[in-house]
Amino acid sequence: MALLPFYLLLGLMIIGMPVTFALLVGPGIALFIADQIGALRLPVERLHGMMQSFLFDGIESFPLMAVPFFILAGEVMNRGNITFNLVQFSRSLIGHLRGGLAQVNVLSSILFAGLSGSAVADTSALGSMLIPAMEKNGYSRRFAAAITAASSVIGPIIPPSGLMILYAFVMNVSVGGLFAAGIIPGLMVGGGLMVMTWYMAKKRDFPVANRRATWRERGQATKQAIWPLLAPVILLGGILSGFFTPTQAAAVAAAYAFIVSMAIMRSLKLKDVPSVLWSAAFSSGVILLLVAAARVFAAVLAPPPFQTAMVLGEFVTALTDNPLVLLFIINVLLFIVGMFLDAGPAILILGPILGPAVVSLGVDPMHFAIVMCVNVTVGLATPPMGLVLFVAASISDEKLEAIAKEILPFLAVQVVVIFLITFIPALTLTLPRWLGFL
Amino acid sequence: MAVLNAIIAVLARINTVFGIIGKYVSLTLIGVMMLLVVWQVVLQWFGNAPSWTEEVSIYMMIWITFLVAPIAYRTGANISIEFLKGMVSTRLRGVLELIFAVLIIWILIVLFQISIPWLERGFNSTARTFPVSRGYIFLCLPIGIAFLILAAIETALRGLRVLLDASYINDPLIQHHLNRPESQMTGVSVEERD
Repeated sequence: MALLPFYLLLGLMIIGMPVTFALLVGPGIALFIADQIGALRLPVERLHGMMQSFLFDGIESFPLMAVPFFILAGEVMNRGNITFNLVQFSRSLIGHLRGGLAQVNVLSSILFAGLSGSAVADTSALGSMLIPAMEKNGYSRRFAAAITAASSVIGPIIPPSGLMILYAFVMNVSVGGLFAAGIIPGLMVGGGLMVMTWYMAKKRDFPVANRRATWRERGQATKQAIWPLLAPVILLGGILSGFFTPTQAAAVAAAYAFIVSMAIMRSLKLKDVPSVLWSAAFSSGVILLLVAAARVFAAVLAPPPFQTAMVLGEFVTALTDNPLVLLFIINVLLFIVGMFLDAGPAILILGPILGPAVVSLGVDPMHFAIVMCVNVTVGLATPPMGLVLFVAASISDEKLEAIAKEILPFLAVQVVVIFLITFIPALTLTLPRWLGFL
Repeated sequence: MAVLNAIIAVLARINTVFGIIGKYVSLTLIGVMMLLVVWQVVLQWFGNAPSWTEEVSIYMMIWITFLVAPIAYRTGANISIEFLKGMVSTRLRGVLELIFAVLIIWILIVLFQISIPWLERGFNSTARTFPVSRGYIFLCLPIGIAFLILAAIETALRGLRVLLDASYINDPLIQHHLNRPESQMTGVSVEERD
């Protein structure tokens, strides 16, 4: 009985029901069955009432509001062409290396990650610019798409991160702390990808695209990019110093992006504003409804007769009492889940089940949060079903299978990073400790 | 088929009108929300931020969620696992989508019914930090669910029409649902999709 709602959810999701609705229909059917066989201790109407009110109460939260604001900020920066300046900046710095444009792709993703918390935004913004440019310079299109997709997962690892806000929200962890904890793993992924690119560039004899930029040109590019580059400084500085909450920082970031792209760079016109706002409202609505549904799912299944999360948690802890072995098993599980399921739902559904189980074995909640976030984020780029792979395929007009094959070496790098941060907690916990979050 | 077409046309009109209103209200709300919170930060700087900004902006966010929900459903923007669906025939997929729609409509009706007494209770209390009845704030949920139901019925009937007569396969709404991964994930905004 306890696992019935979970099996229903799983079944409905696998045959393709939208996750948001599977999270409502699954418990709905389970309640119906439990009611029919008389297993419910409360009247079924009370539980339906709980489902309904959680749909509202489940997202009545100020911290959660950082999600729509970061989406809005990303949308403005994308449409306002702020990305272009970041790419030019990266290009002036390292464009002259062998495989330079591939390196520029990774570096731009690192810089972009400081502004945006979404891998999809990263792929679509950088991909539409860099994939054609790389192809023109003699790279294969599939490789260009693969490196774009692989590097875009840095987006939600380096703060700000929509995913970490979700995790912090469902698991009651400090958002600021998670943001601080994500910095080193994000840079590790970036650095790892650059090393792999360097190795491949040597082995495959990648083109050298540019002459080395002069310092004057570099100065020029820096000047162009200074406003977007300042954004993460203001954002993270403000959050980590406690000057403002992550939600306030997100709102400020969105307003800042508007000011920079409309008043300073003049790349966003007033007539574009409604469509920018609408895109952000639309994506936010879709995610927030998913969050609400996940909260409903968790709320209905916590009390008897189901106690689903508790039973699943017990199952997980019964696997082993060695936290390292458990983390290993969970990493493999999350990696497989990530192949099929999007990162947001993975966090919302599995976070509340796995989190308490792992923490009970003595793993730091923040450490586990980062391991989980990085793992499901990498899942965005793993075949057969990876959100950013789809986006990269559709932007580059290249077959998904072809990109999937090219991305394998980069995935290997990311798997290594996942294991490093899993087994060396200091990599994630040092910064938050320094900044007083632990 | 004529009856089916007529019902779909009526539903499509209702849902389109809701879509336009929902779009403009929610795009305004997200903009106002941003300004409110920025204003809060500025006032906080001077030491006295009013507490209502926080509560008002939270409710705006919830309104956006439920105004967007029916529009997102109609355009097939909700995340799903496409793996298995990609392997079966279009026809079987259509049948699956129909079964989903029936289940979704069922649970939504259950939730809608239960939301009415909740809404009535809401009218008996006011918001914490500003003098507005919570009933008006709660209103977004029944509205959102009701239009979600209409959107789900319209989509289901359109799907049924394709199953009955394959020549309707080019129905743009059905195409959105069939080609979910690309249309959903490239960041193309909804107006461009329609």
